[in-house]
Parts: sequence; structure tokens; C-alpha cells
Amino acid sequence: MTKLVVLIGSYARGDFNQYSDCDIFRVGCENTDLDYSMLPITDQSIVSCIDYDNETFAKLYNAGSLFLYHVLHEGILISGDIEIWQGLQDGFSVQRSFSKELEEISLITEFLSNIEMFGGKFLTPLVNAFTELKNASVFYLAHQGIYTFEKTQCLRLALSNSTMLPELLSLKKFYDYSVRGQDVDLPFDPNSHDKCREVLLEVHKLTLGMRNACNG
Amino acid sequence: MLVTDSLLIQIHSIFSGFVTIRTNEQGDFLQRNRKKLKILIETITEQLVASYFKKGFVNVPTALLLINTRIQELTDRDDVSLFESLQSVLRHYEILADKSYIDHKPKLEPLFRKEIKILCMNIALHKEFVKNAHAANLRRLLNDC
Repeated sequence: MTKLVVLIGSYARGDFNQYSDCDIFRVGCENTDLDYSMLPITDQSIVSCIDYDNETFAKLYNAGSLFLYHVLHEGILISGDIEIWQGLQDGFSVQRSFSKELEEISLITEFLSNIEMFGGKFLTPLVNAFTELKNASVFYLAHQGIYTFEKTQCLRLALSNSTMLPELLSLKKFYDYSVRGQDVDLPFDPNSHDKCREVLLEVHKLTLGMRNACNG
Repeated sequence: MLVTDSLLIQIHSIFSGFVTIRTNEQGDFLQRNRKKLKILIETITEQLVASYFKKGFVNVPTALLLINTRIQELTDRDDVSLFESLQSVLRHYEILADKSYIDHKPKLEPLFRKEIKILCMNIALHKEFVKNAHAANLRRLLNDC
């Protein structure tokens, strides 16, 4: 049984800001397996753990999971056997096809483009659309051989041809407002039917485009 | 309006998919549809909070706090049942929103079969939907689940 605790995300990359979570990747750990004194933070409430059991980790490692690629390339080992960690880094081979992931994302964005379902209250679909669009961008870029995980950079690179790029980038504010509870000015009214409809349909169109580009 | 007709149709679609798949594949079906379930529960919450408490939705934890403090104001039996069942689902929201790459089926399937089903039944049974054809379809389906 392997136990690993790895600092990932913006704190590992060094591009964190005052609103960043401190993301921790753990394999084979219990909730108590985290020594906060090892982390470069003072506020424990910003710690967010992503847990894998050993079996799932092995399965995704062998499948060349893109997420694990980022963990192994950007992550900083906090706790665990350094030789095992280095062996995992050296032996990893990232997957080449992302069509399955992009297919699943496009099914969710299709679901989110059921505009009438939301009854004029669009915060939920906007927040979820941001997550799906960001993930689609990560996979799409990896398909092009570009490996990046920083949210805004991914969107800028993957969606540079969209005429709605400013609105799509601004979706992060809805995410920060809702998921991270930040006090931010929202870029447009989440109860505005026409605007939200336009954005959600564009998100679905773009994820379909990314899916098709990676299928071809 | 409690929730939209289109939302009732989507709830029906999830339960319909669940009951038509073989029993030993129902857990995998839920695992595949966990994101959709999360979005459905968030959407139900957003619409009910706006409809009853005239408050803008921020996220599920703050909605649950709001419901916990305001549920005593409700007097209608259908409303109370509705929000009590919503509370029960939201207390298990982590199962839907968890980002960990683990098998969620052991917790997700009981949540779907009990708390989520009761919530959806309470929506479909609400007096506001007594003449609504989509709610009637959902009631029939849930009774057979």
C-alpha cells in the first residue's frame, strides 16, 4: 500500500493568489493523514484534498490520466517515499486520446443548454459550464501536445477564436462567487435569460467543436 | 411555480433511465450520471430558494443554512415536506459534489433511492402540480420505482 501526499495546483506552481485554494493530492490516505505544518499556508480552511484509493490510482496511472500527468509534473511531494514518487514520475506515460473525456463533457454541456429547465435562474448552469469548459480546454490542448492546467491560461489558449472569449473568461467570476464564496462583482446578471442563453449555447458549441477536433 | 416543467422532464428522464437499466448496472448508471444529478439538485435548490424565500442562490451550503433558519416559517404541509426532503438531500450534497476519484456508488445509490427519490416525489405531489401532466408522469414513475 502506497501513501502519498502531494501539493498540487497554484501553490505547487507558484502562481497562487489571495483567493487560491491550497490543493492536496493524496493516495491511500485517511482524512487525518495531513500534516498542515508542511504546507506553505497559515489558513487551514483553504486546503482542498483530492483523494485516490490505491486501486483507482493504479488504474488511472496505467491509463495515463492527464490529471496524473499534471500531478507528477507540477506536484511537490509533501509526505511519502521519495523513491516511489520518482519512480512514478519516470515511469509515467500520458494518454494520447481524450475523445472519451470530451464526449462526456459535451453531454453535460448539452444538458446545460436545456435553457428552459433553469426557469430564468442561471447561476447553477453558468458555474457548471465554466468547469466543463475549462476541463474541455485542458483535454483539447493536451491533444495538441500543450500541457497546462491553469484555468484562465487554458481558456485563453483553447478558445482564442471565439467571438465570446471575454464572456467565457468572465465565467470564472461566477465560479469564484459560488464555489469559492468570493465577494466578486459578477460580469452579467445570472438571471438574464438572453445573455445566459447565448453564453451556455456558445459553451456547448465550443465543447462539441473540441470533441470533434479530437475525434478527427 | 415551484420548478419548471422542463426540470420535471429531466428528473423523469434520470429516473426512467435508472429503472429501465438492469439492476446490477444501476450503480454504474448513477456513477455515470453523478454530474447531472448534482446539477439537477443545485437547480432544484436554486429555484425553490428563489420561489419561497425570495433570495438569490449562491451555493448549496448557504442555501442549506437559509433553509435551516427559515423552514419554521412554512405552514403548508406540502411546503414543509418539500423543504424537509430538500434538507435531507443537501445534507448529503458532498456525495454529489465530491471531486475525489473514488467509487461513489456505495453512497450514491442509497442517496438516490431514498433522499433524492423522496424529494422528487414531494415535488411531484405538491398541490401546485396537481394538474401538471409532467408531475403526474413523474408521480407514476416514482411509484413504480
